[in-house]
Amino acid sequence: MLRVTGVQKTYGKTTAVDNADLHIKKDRCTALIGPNGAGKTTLLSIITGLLKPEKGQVTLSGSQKDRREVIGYLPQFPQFYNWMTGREYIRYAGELFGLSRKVADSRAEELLAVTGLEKSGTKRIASYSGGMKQRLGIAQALVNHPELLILDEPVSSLDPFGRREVIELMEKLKKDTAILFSTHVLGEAEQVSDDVYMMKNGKIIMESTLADLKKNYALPVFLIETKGEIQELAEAFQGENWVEAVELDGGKLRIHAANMTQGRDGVLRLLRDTNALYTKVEAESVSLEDIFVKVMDR
Amino acid sequence: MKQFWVMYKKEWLEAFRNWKILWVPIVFMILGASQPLTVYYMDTILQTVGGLPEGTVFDIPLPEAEEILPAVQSQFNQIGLLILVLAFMGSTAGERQHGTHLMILSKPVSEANFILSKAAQAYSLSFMAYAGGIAAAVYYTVILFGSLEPVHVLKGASIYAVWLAFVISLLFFFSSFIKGYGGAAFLTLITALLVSLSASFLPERLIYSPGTLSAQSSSLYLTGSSSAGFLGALFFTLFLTAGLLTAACILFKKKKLA
Ligand SMILES: Nc1ncnc2c1ncn2[C@@H]1O[C@H](COP(=O)(O)OP(=O)(O)O)[C@@H](O)[C@H]1O
Ligand SMILES: [Mg+2]
Repeated sequence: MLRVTGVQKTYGKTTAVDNADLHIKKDRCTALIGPNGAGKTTLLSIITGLLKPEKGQVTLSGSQKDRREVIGYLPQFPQFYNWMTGREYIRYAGELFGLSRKVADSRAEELLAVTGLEKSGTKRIASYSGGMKQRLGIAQALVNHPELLILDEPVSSLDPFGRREVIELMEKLKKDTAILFSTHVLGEAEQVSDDVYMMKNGKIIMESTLADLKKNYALPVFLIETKGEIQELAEAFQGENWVEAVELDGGKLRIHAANMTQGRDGVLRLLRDTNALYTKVEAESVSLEDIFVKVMDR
Repeated sequence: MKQFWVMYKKEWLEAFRNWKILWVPIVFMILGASQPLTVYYMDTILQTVGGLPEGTVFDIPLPEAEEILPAVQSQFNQIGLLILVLAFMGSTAGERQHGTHLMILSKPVSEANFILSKAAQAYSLSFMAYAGGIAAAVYYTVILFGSLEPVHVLKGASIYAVWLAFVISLLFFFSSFIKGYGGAAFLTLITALLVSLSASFLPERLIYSPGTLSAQSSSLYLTGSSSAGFLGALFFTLFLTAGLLTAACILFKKKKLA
């Protein structure tokens, strides 16, 4: 639904965004991952239209003449008019989209409920906590029923509890709208995203779906727990030609196979042949964080 | 246009919540009232505060009623201008400094509406405050010194208001590309001062300068008629004011994220 092609933006000598291409698909949640200074905020600002790129373009499917009409945006450090109440702010946001005061007000009430702020709607924003401000920021971004919701580091500034709340909210929202969010907190990104872009020094260095990523980066390592004699089992594995290493790790066996296919076959065959009393067999999962570190080091 | 009104109303709500709606007019009214009062009671004040040898009789002749308003205006030109600049210097600079404009401008909001709604509110509140100040000055002048010609007052006061409008547009012009509060405020005051001074030193050369308007206004207060170059200065100032506001919108659009 939204395509970024060859976008470039420089500040003095730093190229904040360097020839970036992005394709945001409808009904998907896309994560833009990268360390601080990678250019995420700059790229997202270009997509929202706050910044003009020097080169390249952003195109959105559909016929609106101003793409801000169908985008909802939460900046990295949302700053509100603290003298307003939460409800007034969302209402004001709605009126800026051309809603009548009445419609904007009922939309505000609705969004306060969606973001769990219904009790704080009449309080001045100055008295809100960080997590509440973040949720208010998301609420105001939703006021126009956006087709694309852009969230710049929605969880990075929050404590674990606040992160939980925001991630759950994002999971709810992604049913109705495409989401593009940036983050350097990977555990959370892993939970909600479908597509992943990794960014470093202004460049997009990797793009993939999360599922493919996990498949491609999965290590051929298997974990086995057993009620039987673990030492014996370890020795049995050691004798196999497809096994590269065996570790005994706190009552668990870690089998490093030569590759995934041989490993899968081999593990099951050996367990059956030795009549092992296994209680658990699994392929060791690889986290987005592991992958991120690998990709960044390349 | 609808969006402009929404934003204009928001500026008023803000002025209401941070008491600007009260303190700016009150300061102007105090300024306006204090001039006729101090002139009238100068005699008494000097005698009570004293230090004068016993029995000195002061016989300062009281000025005519018409002479009070030009003096009030020079108060406005010093303290009044400073107050207005202080009151509105954060209007755009503050948003940029805090980053409150990001969530607003990522919506389909025009940069021109963003600046002009703020400027319009600044004009409205300034003129309200100024009118209050003039009203207070006229009230005490009439009570203490005698009657004034209403048409002269009206003419004199409106011409000075055009100068105020010019100074406010300077403030919006400078804060459209300067991020800090102080810088734009300082440049506005310095520019206003230079324009005033140059016009009073070279009245023949700078006959259409905005800086001549306060002298024109004084002359209208005193005699009801203006001196040479009046219309030229009036229209040139209005033209500059519009130009500065237009430039402010354009510059802000370019520099909004810097
Ligand atoms: N307004 C600016 N002026 C100058 N340099 C900037 C500005 N904004 C960002 N940069 C630079 O551009 C690079 C990318 O920044 P940013 O987009 O904020 O990265 P991220 O959001 O991934 O942390 C950084 O090197 C940063 O210093
Ligand atoms: Mg950032």
